[in-house]
Amino acid sequence: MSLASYNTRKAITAHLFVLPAVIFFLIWYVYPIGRGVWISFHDWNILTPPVWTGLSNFQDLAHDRDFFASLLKTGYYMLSMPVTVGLALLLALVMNSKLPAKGFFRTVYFMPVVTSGLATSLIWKWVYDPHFGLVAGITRPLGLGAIPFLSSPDWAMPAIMIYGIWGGLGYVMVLFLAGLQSIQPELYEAASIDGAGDRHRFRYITLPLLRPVLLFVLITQTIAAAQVFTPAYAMTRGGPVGATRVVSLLIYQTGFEYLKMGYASAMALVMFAIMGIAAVVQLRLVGRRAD
Amino acid sequence: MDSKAFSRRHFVRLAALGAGGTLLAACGATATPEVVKEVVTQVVEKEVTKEVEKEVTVEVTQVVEKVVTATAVAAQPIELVIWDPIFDPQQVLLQNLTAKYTEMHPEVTFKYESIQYDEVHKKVTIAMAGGGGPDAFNVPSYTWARFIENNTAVEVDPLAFGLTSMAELEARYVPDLLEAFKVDGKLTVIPTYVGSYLLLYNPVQWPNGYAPTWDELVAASKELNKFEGDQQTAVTIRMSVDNPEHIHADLGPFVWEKGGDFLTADRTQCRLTDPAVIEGFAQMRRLVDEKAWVPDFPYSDDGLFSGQIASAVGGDWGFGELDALAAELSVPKAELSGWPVYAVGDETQNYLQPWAWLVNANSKNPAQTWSVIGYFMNLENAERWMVETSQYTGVLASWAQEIEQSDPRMKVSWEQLSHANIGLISSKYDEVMEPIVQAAQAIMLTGANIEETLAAACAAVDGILAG
Repeated sequence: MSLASYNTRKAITAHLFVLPAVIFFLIWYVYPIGRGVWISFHDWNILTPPVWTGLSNFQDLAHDRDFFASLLKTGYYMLSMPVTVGLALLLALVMNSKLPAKGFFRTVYFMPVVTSGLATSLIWKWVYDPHFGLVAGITRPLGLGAIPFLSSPDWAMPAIMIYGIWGGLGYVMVLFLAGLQSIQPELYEAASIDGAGDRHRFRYITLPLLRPVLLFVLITQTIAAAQVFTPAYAMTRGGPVGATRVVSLLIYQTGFEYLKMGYASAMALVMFAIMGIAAVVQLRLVGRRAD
Repeated sequence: MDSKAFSRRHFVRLAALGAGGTLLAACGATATPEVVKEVVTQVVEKEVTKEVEKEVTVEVTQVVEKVVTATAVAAQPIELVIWDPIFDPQQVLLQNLTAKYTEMHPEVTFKYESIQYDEVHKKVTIAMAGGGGPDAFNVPSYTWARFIENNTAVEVDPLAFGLTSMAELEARYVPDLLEAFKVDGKLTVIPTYVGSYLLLYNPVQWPNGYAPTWDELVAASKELNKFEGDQQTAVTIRMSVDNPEHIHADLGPFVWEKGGDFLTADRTQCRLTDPAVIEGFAQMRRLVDEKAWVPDFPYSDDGLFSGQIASAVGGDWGFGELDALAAELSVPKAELSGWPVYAVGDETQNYLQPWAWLVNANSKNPAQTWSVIGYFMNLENAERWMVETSQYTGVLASWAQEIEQSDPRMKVSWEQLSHANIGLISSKYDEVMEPIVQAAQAIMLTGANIEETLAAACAAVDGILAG
């Protein structure tokens, strides 16, 4: 067998190994995205064939107050992201130290990640109940009364943000922990010999070496925060008075309740563009330093 | 080993023979309807002759064709798919009924699936997009329009109920009930359950109708709600402002009681700024301010709901609680097949929240599917439906009579049923209700100005209706 034919056979084998993943990717990612783009230029109620409407969905979107309100609500929710990242980093630092029963705590913090979001949302709905909830049980004896977390337009979004932080903390913590454990201890020893304290070691060794992880966490958590849906749907259904009607929920309602698939797809595309821009900005800001 | 014992040629030849045989067998089965047609024609012609004597005009050939179609389809094994909301007693009942149906018609089997109650219509819609979906599905009234407007539901066939005309089918139900469900003169739904609001009333206790009962109801509810200081410790009467259906069921009756409605009867314009609607909302807000009613958000599954207590009606979830509180509330109680029926309200305003069977236009066996629904809802099984699922339907005329006979104070009023009373039957229901839900939440939860809030919501609703 010549070298050329050997290489060809090797290449074919390699491609065959990759083929299932490529087919999966094409069917479950590329096609739905392409279909979504196509639908966004149509008026489609699911039950009858789509009708071409050109850019009218996007034109309508430009004047849609509900959409802009939901963008603002989503932006508000995304404020929870830095808190999640900060707390997760703090926890990861603690978990990386010589703490007893670290494995136990790590498991406990990670548990919400592997539990159904819908189930935990419903549990938290009861936790927040002003009459019988856990939080009310704590605040009432303290003389703080029962805070109407989910029934107050002012409190509903913070309540969902607290849930989001609780739910996302474990995952981000594990990522940071992996990053921390990849830093060579010699670097800390050398810095200590040079007289660096904890704060300086964190600032000049830990943080710079964690930047690639930080970049990954920032981008994925920003996207995750922008996609928040389950708690807003399960706990408040976007209320009260639209206080938690985030973009994902509005897209769901528009598509599956109002049967305006084209318009919902247009919303999703605009959201996709916004998130793309945000990711590029983050890459520029944090990524350059990480390099 | 002989490598030519079973060659590719052999395989292809055998496969071709097999496929041809299968095709012939399949085609051969079409001979059955001809035989069936002959027999059934004789039987039906005899029956029809009797009917003609009763002055019922029926097109013989039409009936025969329908029977033949149903019979021919049934002669071949078929599996019918049924989607129904999750509700344990109903699930048990339907599984029993389908099993019994299969016993009687072994060629018909069922694939029964229970789905979250507010997801059934969404799942059906998505399945229909792919040309599929269940043969029959059970969904609430506010979702019918999307199927009817888009021609994805099959018209009801009275023959499936063993009847020869729609008039006969309508006579089986309380007067005007099926008429209220028709769209463009066509009936595409058969009710399974009609949760009725303000449907029964007690003319002895409240001879002047609804209004005089307010003080009594408010006093009773205040008494039942318990407080420790400002903190409510026992919630008995809630007014849910969680979602469109709850707004409709809990707040709607108070608006209708004043003569208002969310939309005009033709459902083309908003009516939220009408004085009657504003008055209805104001009355509810006063109840909230006086701590008689508790606005409920998010939806919680305990306590009574205002729509139920104000109209004293049955929802499937409300009867047990209402039964326990009936004495305290001085709510009259009658018996219907050993089941309690309560009454408060005004006979001039009726509101229905019906659930009904629809048959999918994509079904390959629509005639057979309607026959199955006809079996589910025949007189005997409809009675079982009420008794075994504890859902008071009040659908059948005979039940209405039974209620009135069991307690002379009870009066059943069905005359006012109409499309307007069913409410917002429109494929835009969810979209139209969203501003109304937000307005209700703002008024009841945050104390927002009623007139301004309703005016803003009305502008949004009109915008949606204008398309």
